[in-house]
Parts: sequence; structure tokens; C-alpha cells
Amino acid sequence: MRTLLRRSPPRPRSDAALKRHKWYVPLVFVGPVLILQGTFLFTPLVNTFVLAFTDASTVGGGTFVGLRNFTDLAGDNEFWAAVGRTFIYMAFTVPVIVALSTSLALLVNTSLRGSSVVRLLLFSPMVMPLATIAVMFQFVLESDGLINQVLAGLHLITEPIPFLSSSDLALLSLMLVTIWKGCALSTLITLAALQNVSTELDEAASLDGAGWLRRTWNVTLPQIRGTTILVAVLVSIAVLRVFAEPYIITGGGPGTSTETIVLYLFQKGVSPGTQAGYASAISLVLFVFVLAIAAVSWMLTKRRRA
Amino acid sequence: MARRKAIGGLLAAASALVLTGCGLTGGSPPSGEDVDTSGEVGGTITFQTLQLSPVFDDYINGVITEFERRHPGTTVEWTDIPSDSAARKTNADAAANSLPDVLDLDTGTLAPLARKGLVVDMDRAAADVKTDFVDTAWDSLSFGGTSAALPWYLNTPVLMKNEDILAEAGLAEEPDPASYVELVDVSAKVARETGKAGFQPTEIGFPNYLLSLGVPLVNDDDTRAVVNTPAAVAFVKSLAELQESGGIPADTVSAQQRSEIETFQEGGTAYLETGGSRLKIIEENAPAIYQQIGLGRPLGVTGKGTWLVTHGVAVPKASKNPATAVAFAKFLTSSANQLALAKRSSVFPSTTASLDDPFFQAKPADLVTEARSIAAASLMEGNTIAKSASVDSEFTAALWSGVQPAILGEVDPERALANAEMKLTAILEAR
Repeated sequence: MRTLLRRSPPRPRSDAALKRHKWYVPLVFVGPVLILQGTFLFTPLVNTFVLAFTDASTVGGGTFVGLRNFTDLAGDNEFWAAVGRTFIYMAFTVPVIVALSTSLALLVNTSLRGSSVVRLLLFSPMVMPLATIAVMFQFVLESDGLINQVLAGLHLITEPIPFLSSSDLALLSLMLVTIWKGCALSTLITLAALQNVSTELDEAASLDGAGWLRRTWNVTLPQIRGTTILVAVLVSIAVLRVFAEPYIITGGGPGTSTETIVLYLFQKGVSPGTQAGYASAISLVLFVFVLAIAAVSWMLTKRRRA
Repeated sequence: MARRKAIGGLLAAASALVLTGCGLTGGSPPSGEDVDTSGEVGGTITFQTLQLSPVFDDYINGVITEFERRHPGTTVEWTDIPSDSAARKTNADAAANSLPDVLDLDTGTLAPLARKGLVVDMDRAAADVKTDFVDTAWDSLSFGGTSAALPWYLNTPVLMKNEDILAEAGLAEEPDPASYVELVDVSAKVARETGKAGFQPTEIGFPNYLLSLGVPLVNDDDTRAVVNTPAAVAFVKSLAELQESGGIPADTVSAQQRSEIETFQEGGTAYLETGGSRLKIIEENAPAIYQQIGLGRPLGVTGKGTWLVTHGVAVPKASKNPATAVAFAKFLTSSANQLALAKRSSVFPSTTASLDDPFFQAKPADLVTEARSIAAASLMEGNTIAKSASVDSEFTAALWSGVQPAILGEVDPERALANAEMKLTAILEAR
């Protein structure tokens, strides 16, 4: 015998039901989060905003100086050089990470034998602290490091390649570290997107005679375009704030050849006695750059939806 | 309406909280005029040291107990923090006006407090004990006419030599280099004969090299950098030649701080100028290299002088008990207490009476005692040189960054030093 359990239709909420709770009840629920966010996010943010208009030092003090920090920043060649360097860093690493992580995700997504081992190896950088990775790569890239020893062992070079000791190569070397580290998370995100790709479309294309490359290019990739954009935006924002690699591996050198925006900010306003006000102005400019990237992402997403 | 008012009130309270956090509602630390430290000794003070616990717990607790016994009714609350976090914590404490009453600080961390006039001027508060200290130790804590702290423990280097490398280079019988210019010459020969480097220049060491060569680094009133002199240009040029010939390690400019010790203990360099305390580390890490080490007098002792690292004991002007704080600082840095500390460690006392102790004059029995007597002699004979307090970590990093391209041969040394001088002057002007 078939029994149908029928739920009575929900009663429409009356204004009286809504008013049964006091107005402050929602505040009680969100209060703890608001307090935490207010203390550890918004207060420092507002503090930074205020400090940017003062001549405060890291040991305190400071008076209101209006827009002086920003006008100084506008004429600060070293800052703009750091900005240019960071954008070059971004222009190189973001496409490479996106392309590489997409390719790796496509490969890992196959059911080839050994792909689970490859997945494990691929994602291992994600669980390693960036500081550890940076130190590891320093040993790999130094003059008598692993790469130079291998190249010398293969008789491909007679003199070690100055990966870290040349102003021309140091930034590129750091980019490789960022790419190695950045690929893991990006691949994971892309792989998750690939799991949701419609197999019916792929099979239909296959029946139509399309090969793997064509199916991938014309069927699979368009379906994960949104994720690819998301990965590109996330990587762009991360690269804009790149710090650990230049700080640990090269210290910004040789000279200032690997000095990025955040490293410059650190040198200007975190060491003892340096200019906290000026550094706050730099961080506000960096904040604007990050906002701009987020805005571009929003526009791309909006256009896609339209 | 009530809801709006309540929300408005909450927003106002939040804004007030935020602005208080921003330090806009006052509470900035006192600076400028000196404070009266002549009051009665008593009450409670806080005392902060840098990474002395747990090794020196007994010593510090003993000093505190003795001070409290001599001054009944006095309590000293001791805290010890890791050296790595000293700058960050001191900055935060200074900004929040909550510095401990007595602070053990290195000159780099002390410098910004002194520049802002946040610490008691020891020239006035401790004028009665000033002559007890080694002159250069006292001078190294002087910031624009005021002395920011009482000198506590010191370090000054010895020259370590890898005798095997020197023998291989045919330099075994040669006298030790006496200056950095001579070290450069010897390093070129070491590289030529052995393929190994002579020494590894460092970021921290670079201002000391220039100072020892007679380059003042800053002008008399610390308002302008002076690093672009013929002596400096010639020295940087010689480093570039060494970089080319292998007289210094290939990764010198990208090397981490203190990696020069690793390079030396791996047998990669013939010379290392460092504190005697490193001998123990080398003995533990590389016993074979330790057996090859010979010691010599530090570079510069026959010229302008060798470098000196000073730890000072400062008293913030914001201390609620400055009289007791200054009394404790004097007691802690007294000759007897400093000698007791030096005998338990590898640091050197900063008072002449304690340096005069037979402990530092003993005939060398091993490398450690030999290093101790060499360094003590540098201090006692006035062969150390006080670096201007303006030459702090920011200055040092900017100078090293400025000369790196010149060492690599990418930029002309004179141009590199001119640029560095301009940048350093801008840093000094911004302070």
C-alpha cells in the first residue's frame, strides 16, 4: 500500500511573525564575527588609511601631513621601478601559471595509469610553506646549486649560470619559483572545474569525428572559462603581493633588480625606525591595484553572463 | 527610530574604537625633555632582555635578587623575548607607549627610540659612571649628542684563518693582512693559487670595511651620507675584480646573512672575520675545519680600528619609575656584574675594570681563550671604532643594495656609490 505523506503547505509569514524577534537578535548572531573582523581586519585597515596621511614612524608619533606621502610617492622613482617590476612579474607568471595549470589539470583528469601519483606530486607544493620553498630554491639556484651541477655534469655549461647573482636573471629565477608554487592550487581549482564538464558534449564531439586536441580546445576549455578567469584573477592578486620569494631568496637584489612593491613597502616601513606613514601610503596604492584587478575580473564575469 | 539611534550609537562607538586604535586620540610617547631620575629607589619595574633565557636564568635572577636585597621594597619583573622579534615588539610597545622600564637592545633597534627622544639620556642620568666604560662602547650608543643607553655586553672580532688553504696558496709564512685592502690583495692570490675564495664580504660587514678604510659613512651631524670617496671607490672596484677572479664567492651578493660562516666552515674561504663565539659553532659543525683554524688580530686594528657590536641597557622616558629603572641599569652594567656575565658566556664586558681582569689576560691555552685575549686587547687598547648610530639596518641594507651591481661589474663603482650616497642621504633626511 502506498502511503503519501503530504506536508501541509507553509503558512505565509505574517508581519507579526517577523516582528516576534527583537531587532537586535541578528546582531547577536553576527556580532562575534563583526568584532573579530573589526579588530583584526577593519581596524588595521582604517589605521593604515589614517597613517598614510601622517609622518608616523614605526615607533609611533606622527602628525597629519595631508597628501605629502602620496605626492612624494608620485615622484619616487624607486617605487615606480618596483611597480613596473611587479607588473612584469605578473605579466610573465600569470599566463604561464594559467596555461600550465590548465594543461596539468587536463592531463591529471585523464584515467591514465599513475595519474594518482602525479596528482600527489603536483599538489605537494601546496602544503609546503613558501619560506621553505624559497630556501629550497636558493639551494637549487645558487652557483654551485643543483641546476648548475646538473648542467655542468652534462657538459652543457663551463661556467655556472648566475641565476641569483645577475640583475638580468634574478627576477626570472624568482618567477620560476612563483610558477612552481602557484601551479598547485591553480591546478586543483581547474581540476575541480573539469570534473563538472559535460561528458555528453565531449562524446558528441567525438562521434562527430573530433580528435582529443580539438575536443579539448573547442568543447572542454570553453566550459571552464569562468574558472580559468577566476584562476587568472587569483594568481594576479597573489603575484601583485609577491614578497616571500624576493625577500628570502635575493633580498631584493642584486641592487634593486628583484625589489617588488611589497618588498619596497617592507623596507620603507617595517624595519625599526622607518616611515610607517609613507609605507601606509604605498599599501594604499597597492590596495588600489588589487581593487583594479578585482574590477577587471568582475567586468569579465559580467560580460560572460551577459 | 530607536533602532536607528542604537545603530548610530554602535557606529559611533566603533568609530571611536577604530580611531583610538589609530593613535589619533593622544597617548603618544613622551619625548624631548629629559625626565628626573634622581628620585627614591623602590617599587616595581619591568626588565626585558633579548634571548638570554634559559641559558642565563641563574645569572639574571641572581642579579635581580641582589638588587632587590640592596633596595628593600623593590621588585624587578623580568621578561625575555626572542632576538628575532625584538624590533617588532619594541616598535609596537613604543607606539603603544608601553615599553618596559629597562630594556636590553641592540643599537639598530635602539636607534629609532633614541632619534625620537623616547629614552633617558644616560649622559645626564648616569654621568657618575660614564668613565667606567670603554669609550667606543659609550660612543656607539650616542645619538645626536645624547647617550641612549648604558653599554652592556660587547662583541668585537678576531681574524680566523684556514691554515690549510693559506699553505696551499703559499701564504703560510706571510704575515696576516692588517687591513681590508690587504685582505683583498691576499684573496686575489688565494683564488689564483687554490681556486678558492679569500673571504666573503657581507651586508653587515660592508659599512665596517668602509669605516675602517676611513670612509666616514655620514657627516658630523648625521644629516648626509658620505660613502662616495676615492677610498670607497677603489675598494668596491677591487671587490668587483675579486668577483671576476673568484677571490670572493660567486654568490656573495645574494648570500644570506651569516652564510659567510657556513662558507668558511665548508672550507670555501681562507679568512673569516667574526666574533670568537663562532668558534664553538664551527667546532660543532665542522670539526675538521676547526683543526685548520689559526687566529689573528682583526683587520683595521692598526688603522682606523675594528668594529664593535654593543648591546645597551636603556630606560624609556615613559617609565613610571625612572629612578629605580636607572639604578637597576647601573647595577646590571656594573663591572662586577658584567665580569660575571662574561665569564659565563663568550661576550665581552663594556667596563674597563672588568676587561682588566686576569680572565681576559690569561695566556691562550686554546683557540677560544686566544680569541678572547685578542678581542679583549682590541677593546682595552682602544682599537675599536664606533659606528655612527645613523648607520642602522636600513642604512646598511640600502648601502649594500647600492654597491651590489658594482661588485657584479654591471655598474661603474663611482656611479654606484654616488647613487647609494644620494639614496642614503634621502633616508637620513626623512628621519
